[in-house]
Amino acid sequence: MATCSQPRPDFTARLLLILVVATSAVAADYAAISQDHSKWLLSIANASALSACLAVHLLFPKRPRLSQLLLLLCMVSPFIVQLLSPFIGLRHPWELVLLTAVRNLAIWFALGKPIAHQRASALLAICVLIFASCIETTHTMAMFVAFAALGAGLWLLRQYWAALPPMLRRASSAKYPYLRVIALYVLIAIIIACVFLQQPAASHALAGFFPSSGGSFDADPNATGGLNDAGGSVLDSQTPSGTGFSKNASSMDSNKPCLYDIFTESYGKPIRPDDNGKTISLNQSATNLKRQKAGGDALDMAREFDIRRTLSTPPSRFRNQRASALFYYRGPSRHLRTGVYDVFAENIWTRSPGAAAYRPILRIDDRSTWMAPGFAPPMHPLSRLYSHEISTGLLDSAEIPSPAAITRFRIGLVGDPTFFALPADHVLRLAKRTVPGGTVTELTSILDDATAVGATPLATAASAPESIPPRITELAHRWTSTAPPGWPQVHAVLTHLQEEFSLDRHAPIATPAVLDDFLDRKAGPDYLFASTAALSLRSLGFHAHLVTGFYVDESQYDYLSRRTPVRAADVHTWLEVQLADGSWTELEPTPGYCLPGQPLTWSDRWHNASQFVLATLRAHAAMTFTGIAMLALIWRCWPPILDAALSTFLWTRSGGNSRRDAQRLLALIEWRARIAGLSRPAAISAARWYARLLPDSPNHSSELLTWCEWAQFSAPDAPSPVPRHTAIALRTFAIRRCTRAQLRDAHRFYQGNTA
Amino acid sequence: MSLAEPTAPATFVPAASINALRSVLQQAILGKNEVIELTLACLLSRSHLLIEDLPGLGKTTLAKALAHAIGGRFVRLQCTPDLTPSDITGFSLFNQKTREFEFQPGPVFSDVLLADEINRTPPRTQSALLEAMGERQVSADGRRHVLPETFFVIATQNPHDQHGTYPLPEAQLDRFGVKLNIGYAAPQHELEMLQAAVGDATPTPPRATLDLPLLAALQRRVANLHVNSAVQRYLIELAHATRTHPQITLGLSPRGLLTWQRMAQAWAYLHLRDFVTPDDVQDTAEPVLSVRIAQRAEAGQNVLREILETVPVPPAGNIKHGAFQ
Repeated sequence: MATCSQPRPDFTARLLLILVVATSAVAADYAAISQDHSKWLLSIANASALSACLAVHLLFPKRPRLSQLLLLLCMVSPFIVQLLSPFIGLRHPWELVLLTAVRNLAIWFALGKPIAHQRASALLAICVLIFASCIETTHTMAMFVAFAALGAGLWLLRQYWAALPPMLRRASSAKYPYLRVIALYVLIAIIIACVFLQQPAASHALAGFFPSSGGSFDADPNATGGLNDAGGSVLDSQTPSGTGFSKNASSMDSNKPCLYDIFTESYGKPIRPDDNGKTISLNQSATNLKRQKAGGDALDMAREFDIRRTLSTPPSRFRNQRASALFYYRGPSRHLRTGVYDVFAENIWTRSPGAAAYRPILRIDDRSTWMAPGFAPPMHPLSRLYSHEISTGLLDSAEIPSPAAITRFRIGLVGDPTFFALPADHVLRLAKRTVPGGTVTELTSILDDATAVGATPLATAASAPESIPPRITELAHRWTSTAPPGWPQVHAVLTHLQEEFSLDRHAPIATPAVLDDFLDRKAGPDYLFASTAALSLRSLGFHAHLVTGFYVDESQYDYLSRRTPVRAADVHTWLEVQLADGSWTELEPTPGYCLPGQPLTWSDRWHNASQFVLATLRAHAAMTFTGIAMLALIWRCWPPILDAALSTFLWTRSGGNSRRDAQRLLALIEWRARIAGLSRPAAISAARWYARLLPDSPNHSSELLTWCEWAQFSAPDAPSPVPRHTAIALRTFAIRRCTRAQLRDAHRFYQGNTA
Repeated sequence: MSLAEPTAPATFVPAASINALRSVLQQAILGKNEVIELTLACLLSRSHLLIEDLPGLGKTTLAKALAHAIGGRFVRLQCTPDLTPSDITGFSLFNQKTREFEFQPGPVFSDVLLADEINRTPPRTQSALLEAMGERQVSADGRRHVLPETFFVIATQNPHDQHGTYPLPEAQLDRFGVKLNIGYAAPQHELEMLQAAVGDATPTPPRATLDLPLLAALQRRVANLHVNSAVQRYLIELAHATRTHPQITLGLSPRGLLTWQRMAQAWAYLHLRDFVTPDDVQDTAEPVLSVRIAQRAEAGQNVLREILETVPVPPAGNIKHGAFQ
């Protein structure tokens, strides 16, 4: 008789899995830390808790429940901390909270012995890795992912080997094929190395395994004829080995459909690159030559196709009309900068000599025309990247109105970095010419999160400049006399300006005492607001400068072109203040203007809602206390209260309609039975169920149930089976005798009898 | 004899003759009150009765007692394998005097027909009763012969596993109202039966306690009993459950649904109510459904119970009228 032995747990597989999970956990922590160094504390706390759990698991192997319970607590704790964030001052994005919880759950499953737990742990570890690699995309993260992939592959092979039916093995004691696994990994490593190290022969041989759209050869940098060919493609006729389409008469005059016709029918007409975008970087002769090119894009082998299927859209107003605004803007910003003034002397703002120094501009890669400033603007943890598009209209200047903190930009196919200039004031401009009309500038910039900015300290100067008018200095100190240092002072200045001063675009300019006139009249144009605010902040020791540019008025938004036209009337002045990390953030002192709003994250919504609730409760403390007391009272003894209310209702509202009275009594009994835990099963009628639950008063019980049956199922015009005095007695019986306690007693008595 | 109409639903009392009929049946077969009640309900619902059980358990006794108690023309038909359809419905004879064919009515032309051991005759002969049971008429030689309004068939059959039996076709079964099993009597009732048999050499048949016009009036009264729409929906849901249950191969037909409602009406009438409740539907479910639904061979005995315990009854707080409004 064959004996079936229980398979021994695969220690190596468990070890590999723990390795993979640990790698993913470290990657998750690395991703969280890389976002904000202040999270070191949280990560250390997490690591300590997990280490404690692992120690408990190792030291007390016979009590795995204890360690698993601890890990479960670790999994829940991030949510609890996040929910308590409005009260304890810690705030993290919900994504990180979720990542931490999933990571802990993966570890919890990895410690379990069942194979289902291990599989779940592996799956969760992959999720954590993907999540972490989405947050952080550095080479270090790639190393984590590669290491985890190595371990996961070994674990998968190990599991596969363990799950193979014994009949497929040569012997039941067949050993794990370590040598073959190692050989497999070496082969994979060679393939990867060939691809990434760009060994031409090996890369070409490997590329041949992948399907292509035709053409001479995909891996050939000078290939042609197919889609997605390399960038340096040439005409097929110039390469003898080419196999794709060529621009010759025999292929173009054929009546058979060619590849381009098929693509045109499937995906629409080809994209025509913006002539302006392409030509402004060319000299005049090259531009003329390009315009004289015969045949247009239809005969161009290197033309671009949009592989997305798009619906035909009616021509928009933006395309068909002459420009009527300086430029057209699409994006989230409201303040587009064209100049920065940081020196104030004798009522005049000027630029410092260092502000005009150009910063380097780098082309991101050779495959696109995206440019990036040579210096990376600091990015706060909750800040995000947003895309902007500026279509120049009547604007005639070298400066491109653009938001602050630009991370990349491009103008069509212009690929020469020297074509642009980016001074230290971070205002993008063309180096040698003005921006032609119709130029579309695409930008990506960092839009700061107001909360994160508010949590960042301000940069302070050692001493206030002497050129600040004393009246403004006195005013600033008076406005901020009760405010603590830092952001509260800034808010105090802005609040006073916005609430006590009014905007008057046509106020007379009384030079040289323009600021005094503004302070006297408490009205003036926007640049006086900005000047006063900037000087006030400077007098308080903060770094502030004046910014001129355009204000994007959302009320002017054109839904047809999906852009907001910006005209000369939208010229605006505001200020920026410097933070401790060196970045600048916008401030808006002028009433009627506001900073761009950001879509609220779940953290913001939760924080705002909890703050609102707390403020409301504080404002109505007495009512809140009374309400809480009443709720507690109802929570403690709500069945009797509701029972009394229903009974009173029945007493006061009965007697008019016999059918309705009976139905109400039955509803009362049903409710009491439900509260008593004796809910009527759905497939049993009320008459049968309550015949054994009602108190031991046969006449009243049967009469009451007959009355209720009549009320439910008899003809609408059927007379009542009980006279009025009997109905009163039955109502008394139902309300006073058929209580929850009586129903419980009757049920207990019935169960005793049936047992 | 006249029908005593109730004065008010609160004191709703069926005709006294029903009580007399009940007494006659209780004397004929002892200790089977539930079977007797279902038999009465079947009679009042204008259905036909099928009694199935082992030989000697009182099927024929109950049928004969009921037939005699109803009154009218009573015919007993002993179904044998050589019985032909014309032996039941009748046949045409050539009259030498009138030189014409004359129809000779068969035993089906009666008020109460007792088809004893009906499943011992082939299905071809059984089918001769289809039209008579369903439409209360007989068509022969192109002419239609109407049966009495109170035509009532009481059939007995032996279990299918007995020797010399044919299964009743589904169309035939669907025309019966209920199927009853009598079962063995309790020991005290058997003792009482033995004591009553001593000295009774030629038992006399019971006298008729119900005349046919009164029976027709009672049947009309039962048909007029109120059935709430919620109860009707409950009936429909139960019928739907029988049609969709995985263990049931033949669900309840619309004719069976009508029969069930009429049986519930008769059951409510016998329980002194002038309206039907879900309990009436549940009480008559097993005899009504067991005759006309077919289960899979591997299905257990609790399929009907499972259906009744699954389908919810109409809510206690009648939504139509509304409590606490």
